[in-house]
Amino acid sequence: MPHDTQAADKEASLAAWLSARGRVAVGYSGGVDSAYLAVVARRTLGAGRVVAIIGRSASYPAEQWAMARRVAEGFNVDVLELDTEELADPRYAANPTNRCYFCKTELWGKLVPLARAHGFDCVVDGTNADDLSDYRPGARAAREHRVASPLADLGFTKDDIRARSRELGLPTWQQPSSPCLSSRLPYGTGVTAERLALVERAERALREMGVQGDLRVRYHDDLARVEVSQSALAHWLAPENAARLVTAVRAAGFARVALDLRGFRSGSLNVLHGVSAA
Amino acid sequence: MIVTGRTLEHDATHADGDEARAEGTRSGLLDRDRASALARALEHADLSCTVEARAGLALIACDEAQQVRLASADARGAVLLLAKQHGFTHIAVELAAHVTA
Repeated sequence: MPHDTQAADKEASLAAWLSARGRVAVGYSGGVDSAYLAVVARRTLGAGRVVAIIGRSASYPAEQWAMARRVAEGFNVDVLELDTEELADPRYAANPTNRCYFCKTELWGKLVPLARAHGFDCVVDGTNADDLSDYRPGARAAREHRVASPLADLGFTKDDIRARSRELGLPTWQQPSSPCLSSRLPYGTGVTAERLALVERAERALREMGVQGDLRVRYHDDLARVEVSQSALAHWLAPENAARLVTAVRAAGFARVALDLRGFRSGSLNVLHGVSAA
Repeated sequence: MIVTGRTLEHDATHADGDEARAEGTRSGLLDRDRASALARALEHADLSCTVEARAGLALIACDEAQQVRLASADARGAVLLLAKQHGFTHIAVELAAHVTA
């Protein structure tokens, strides 16, 4: 069966799943997955029966928030926002390998009661089937708060979600994956608002300079290790381009700048710390 | 060929019998040994550079001509393989801010 047909079939299953719940609140970041889920829910259930809830904090990039608002506005999805304070939790700030558990505990601990206060008993997130093979301690917090993951349960892969997002006209369809800024800090390196802001400034500077596709600025104290897509490596290794890259990242506040020779890989710091395979 | 041993120097300075620091020193020694070995292997592969070990990350620095060579996917593949053989999960090249004339 062609991939597009398979993805469309999954979307029909998702619509049926959502219809059976009647009203849903979506934990919403404006990333590829939660944007798709929120829009399908809105199309399926109609006005007043879906709310997308954004949790804002220092680890949530401002550009991501802007995209979240843009998608919600464009597709008539109601939005609620709340502030999360995971950085104030020393268990999170110490940046252990299960850091995401403490972040999601903070998020769902506030988001689920807010959803219920607005009459939404069913809360869903954008976890997809591909995520299940990665190291995701945050998923435990979702289970503990009875947050459902219909995309994962119905077998949606990232490719499925991108294909259907494109079909629906979502601007996020080709947006690179965008985990929180804390994922740029090696485990054991304390998470602070200043470090997150440093990484965010550097990534924004590189985007403004023309870096497209996957991009991560990994924080190694004084050193920024920049990951770009493999296809872009040759371009950024050319001396004149490398010099521009260095200038931009130094202006953001790093003293030293290096380009990762393997290029972008999701969960790169998990590999560095032996949490997942090289 | 210069091999940077920052971790070793830092830990050796402060080693005082404390177990954690002794472990850090052993780790530093290991880092320096791996950095030295990788630098030699890269030199053998005609890539002259310095290597600084930061746990699983090998940070290399080379001149502009060598950096340009790394634009080739084949050259990068060879470097990645050598890094992996020397126990590194990541390898990155430090970039200079100015282009030499």
